[in-house]
Amino acid sequence: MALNAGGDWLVRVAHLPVPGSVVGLIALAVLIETRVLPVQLVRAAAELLVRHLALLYVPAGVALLAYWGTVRHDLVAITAAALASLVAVLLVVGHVVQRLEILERDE
Amino acid sequence: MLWIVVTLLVYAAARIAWDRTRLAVLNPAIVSIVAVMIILFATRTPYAQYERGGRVIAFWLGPAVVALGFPLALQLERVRRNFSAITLALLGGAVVGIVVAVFVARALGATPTIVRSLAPRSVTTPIAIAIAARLGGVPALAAVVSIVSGALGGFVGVGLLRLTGIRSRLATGLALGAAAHGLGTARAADEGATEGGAAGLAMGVMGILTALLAPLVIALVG
Repeated sequence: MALNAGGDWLVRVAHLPVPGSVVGLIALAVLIETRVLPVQLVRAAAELLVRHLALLYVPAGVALLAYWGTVRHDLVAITAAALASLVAVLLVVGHVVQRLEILERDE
Repeated sequence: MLWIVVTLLVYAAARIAWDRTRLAVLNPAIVSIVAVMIILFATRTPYAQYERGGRVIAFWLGPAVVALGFPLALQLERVRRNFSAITLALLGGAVVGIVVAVFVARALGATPTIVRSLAPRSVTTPIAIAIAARLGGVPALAAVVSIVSGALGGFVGVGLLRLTGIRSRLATGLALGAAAHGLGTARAADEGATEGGAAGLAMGVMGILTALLAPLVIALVG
């Protein structure tokens, strides 16, 4: 797991517009899929981190206190944008999959 | 140090309440965040003081995002059969998720900083925080928006899909994971193993795609 965090830092130096940790995520998935990294080696650490992911958001969320002044004026816009995006993604993904799934079966 | 312990205790209590009741309103992340805010307020602790302890916990967000690659790898097997349908749907979902959030926020007059914080709306919270930080948004706002919309999507998602005629198990799972990430995935898992697996896959892929596409959308529309 320390090794993964190391990879996270390494990519951050490369000036990609993508967060280093996301590159690390892809790297980990590829390493497991290609069996370079044995599943057993990462299972315990990965499952612990994923299980208590919610704990890690807490300081991030509390930080909203520091930004309350910036956020306050745009509350309506924030709520509307989030809701619209939620419904749009739900319907687009659901309908595209259902339609294409049937097409693939017909072939 | 004190604030690390306080955060851990609050989270443990919120987690127990959640595990016992499974009520959508008792989302452990939201309850913990609000509780910590109240404690800070009641004890008149300045945020800067909390931040020193909070940083120690937030440090683990990076490795935790990497760790999400593990469940994703276990789901890759499922992709092979409906590869083109899944790829197209999630690509469309990622683009729509970013574009709709950005345009609605802009149309309603939100500042550029706010718009950048909303772009990663449909992504699991730790990745949303990383993307917002990378784009120059407010990571804290991205976190809260991600958590709340995940909770909401988990709550109303299945009903909304059924209402518009979605019956397919694969479509239900992918849509829930794509739109409402972690909590959508939990809800999908309640529906069945197919839905749960598909949702977990969608959550991971959406995180990757949004990380790649959000900078492009922001560069195009500001």
